[in-house]
Amino acid sequence: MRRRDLICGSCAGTALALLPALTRGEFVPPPRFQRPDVASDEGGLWALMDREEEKLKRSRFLLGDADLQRYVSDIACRLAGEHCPDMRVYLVRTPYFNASMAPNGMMQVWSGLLLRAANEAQLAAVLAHEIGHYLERHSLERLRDAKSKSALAQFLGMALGAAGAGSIGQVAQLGVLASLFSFSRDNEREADAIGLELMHRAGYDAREAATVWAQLIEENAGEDGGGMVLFATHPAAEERRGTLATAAAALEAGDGPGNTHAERYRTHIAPVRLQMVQDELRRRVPDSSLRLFDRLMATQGREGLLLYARAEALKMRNKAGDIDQALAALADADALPDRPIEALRLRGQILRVRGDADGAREAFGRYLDLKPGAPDAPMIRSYIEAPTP
Amino acid sequence: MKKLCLICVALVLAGCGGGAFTRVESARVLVRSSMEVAAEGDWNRYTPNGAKHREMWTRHGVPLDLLVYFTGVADGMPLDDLAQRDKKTPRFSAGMTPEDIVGLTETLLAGNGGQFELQSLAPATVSGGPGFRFDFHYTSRQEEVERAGTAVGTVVGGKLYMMMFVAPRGRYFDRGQPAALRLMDSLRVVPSR
Repeated sequence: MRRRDLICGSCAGTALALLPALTRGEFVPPPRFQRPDVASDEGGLWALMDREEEKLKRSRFLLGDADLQRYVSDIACRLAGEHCPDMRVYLVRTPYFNASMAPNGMMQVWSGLLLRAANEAQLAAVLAHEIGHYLERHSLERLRDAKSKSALAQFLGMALGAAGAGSIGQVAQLGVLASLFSFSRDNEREADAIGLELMHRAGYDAREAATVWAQLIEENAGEDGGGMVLFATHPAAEERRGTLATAAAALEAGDGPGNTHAERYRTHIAPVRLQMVQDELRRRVPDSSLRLFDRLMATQGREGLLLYARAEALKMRNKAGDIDQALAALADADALPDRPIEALRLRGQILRVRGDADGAREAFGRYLDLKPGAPDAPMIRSYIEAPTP
Repeated sequence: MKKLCLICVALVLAGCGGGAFTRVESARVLVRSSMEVAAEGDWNRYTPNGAKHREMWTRHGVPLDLLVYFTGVADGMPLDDLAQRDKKTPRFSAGMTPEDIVGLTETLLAGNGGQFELQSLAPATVSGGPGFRFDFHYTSRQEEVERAGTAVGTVVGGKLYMMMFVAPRGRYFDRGQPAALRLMDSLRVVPSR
């Protein structure tokens, strides 16, 4: 134990020294990777990832939005530079914060990350971090480190997890994702430093990398945070955020701040945003969801969709005062153009349970006027006929 | 046991506790002392070890067709009666509306990153009293097989009684649904104390 502490202590020391060196603009990306010999350990790893990629291509969980796909692929390409032709980006519909990049060039971006990022620079920060692991071939390093059978099993779990294969849903549920992304601390710091530099070179505001961190720490204050996957299990979360912020400030000091591209980010994710919010709500962890929605409103304004999402989470939590707050959020959403039709149904449901027959009838009526073919229309019609339970 | 573990990975509804299958006789059958149905055909039943309010029936095997009885979920209890204790599992409350119960079902089946699409929700007469029926499609993140489902439910004495049939969408669901609906139509709730 004492010996392990010593080793880890020295790793951390090395890594701390590493970060400033790499963020002085000195990182030179390696040349494009050639497909390794199939008989080599690296070739075996690529073959494994190729198989997973074939499965992923057929997955029902791919987001089908071609414009968004192109948009995120372009961001990844700008970050990866000459490695762009070797990368394939897949957008996966899963309400957890995560992105990963396999050694064969398969990159996955989960919809939970798209929902949580406040702007393009924050998304770029995460993608650039993953590209950092790819450029430094960290997964191969981990494979070669995994000498014992149990370590190899753990590594394969990580590799398959990174590929989104098999048990990741269950693993997320169990909250043991530390093992999925168990790159070494040095690996993580290196990927942080490279990521910062890549996003800075691509013209992004590198300070957003530290902000992503801060947001994840805040959302995961409870045990159910959907932001847990990528970083949150790292033991030195707070310290890492601080290091990133300092390094970003040093980078920006020379050239001035880069862009966040908040507006164009919001435009591109708009078509899938309602679905992403509904996927988040389906987790039924209202405390964590409320922290997320409130943060998004703080950075993106009080949008109709987010106010509706807040109201749904409050109704789900149903603590003292929550229902009043939910009604207030729905009232605020009323005048906003992006308020979903479902907000009317929610108001009707709340008022019905409260015994406000006229209010419920009015809200349900408006819902059905706008969505007469809704799957729950027969139930809603019955509520209009008998508005109180 | 290994097989049952595979089943529970494939289908959260089936639970993970194990349990023995027995053949269902063609007669009126009492399920966990609180739901009576007129059984016919080739159903098999089992109760996962440790289940407090669930019994499962299947004709061709759990992954191919599964009828779940929720036999009086009490106020404050989770639908998933086999959930780990330390897990924050969504709980039923006696004042819940049918859409709240659909929401609980949605989380049970697809809360962990899966997909769920409601096809219909309508009032229905269940066990001779007011109830609801809903139809849906869902895909769990673990197995990526799209399933269809149909369920009827009623709240009696503050407890939820529900029957839910799920099967892979298409052939298995279409062939299995009529027998499941006949059982649902024959349901008589015998409220437990």
